[in-house]
Amino acid sequence: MSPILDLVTIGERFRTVYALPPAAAASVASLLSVCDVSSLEDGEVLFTEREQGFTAYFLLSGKIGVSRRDAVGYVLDISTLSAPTLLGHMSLVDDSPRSATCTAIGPCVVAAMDRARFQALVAADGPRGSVLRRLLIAAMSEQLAGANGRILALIDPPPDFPADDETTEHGIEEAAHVLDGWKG
Amino acid sequence: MSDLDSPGAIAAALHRLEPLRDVPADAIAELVQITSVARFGVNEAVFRQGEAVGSVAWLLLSGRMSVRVATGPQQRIMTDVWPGEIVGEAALYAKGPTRSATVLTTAPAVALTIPRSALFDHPDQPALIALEMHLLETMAKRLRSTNNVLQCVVNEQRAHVAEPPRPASSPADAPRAAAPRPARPEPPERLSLAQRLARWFDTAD
Repeated sequence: MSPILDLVTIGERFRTVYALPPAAAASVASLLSVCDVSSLEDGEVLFTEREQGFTAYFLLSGKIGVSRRDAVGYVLDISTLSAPTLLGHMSLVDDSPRSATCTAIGPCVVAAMDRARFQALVAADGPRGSVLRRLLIAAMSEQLAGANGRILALIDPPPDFPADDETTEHGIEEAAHVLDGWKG
Repeated sequence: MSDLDSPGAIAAALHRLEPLRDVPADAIAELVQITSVARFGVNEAVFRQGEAVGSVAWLLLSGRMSVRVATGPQQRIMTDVWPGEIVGEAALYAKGPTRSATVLTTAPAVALTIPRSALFDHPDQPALIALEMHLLETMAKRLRSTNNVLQCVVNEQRAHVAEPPRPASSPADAPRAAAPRPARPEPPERLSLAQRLARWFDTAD
């Protein structure tokens, strides 16, 4: 059953979190109005790593756990996302499989946007297209800045830290390769 | 740089950039009107790490820049910036208070200065839409690359440091809730880079 939501209030929360101009709150609400809103129960899986992605989601309330499996099958808890935020958008931006599993932590409400609508809106003019692009870029910019900051901290360890094996050297090279894509 | 001395020359240079190749000429001309052009000498700072993030980004039209990040006393050159690339986009879209890197010119450069207000005041501007679409694709690639490298290093670390007990069932097929999480080994007192990366990967929030 779809929950009844105050989309204007939720739009204002997105506007605040993503530092959008005042008029953007109504545009976010308009964007959400064309999504399918649904509730998730604690532990319910929204999507699974490696599956093909056909939907982007706006987390309207609650928290979502993000996890991946490593090469031997361990479940690695990567992060916890709190509303309001976007998730699952990467698969629709670059047509790639899901890079992680997203699971509800407690009750959640999400607004789902299917691929066809997403692709039409993201390239569209008008306030909905504009606010969707900016939300996406802002979300990815934050993700990237956080990841790069952590990698930087790791490739510049404390002075007394020994860099004494091939794995470490390879790790530095790989991290430096990632940072080649950084543009401040 | 004499070929970028007039609005018409700037518009022509913009039209040659891959992201703007299909944008109508009148939209390119409008982009020139709502932005400004900045010219830099060699070894000049476009912006510096730690500065207030401001409200503009730059689209490089000609010349070359490099992105540098200071960590402690060191300064690392992260990448070169080529014509068609945007630097400082965080000022337009993110809410961080300061610049996270320094951008210096390594050759005389001409860049289009894009103010945040241009985006907000002209949401339907075709050239700005094309630049935003280009940014989306670029950032998606960077994020995928970051995820893949982190996973690679973590996997290497796990194989290198210790052979942990494996889950009883096929890990790839088992649902997440059903997969028991094996006990992690006690962390060593001094951790290698890869070990620290693995710990971060496990506990990041």
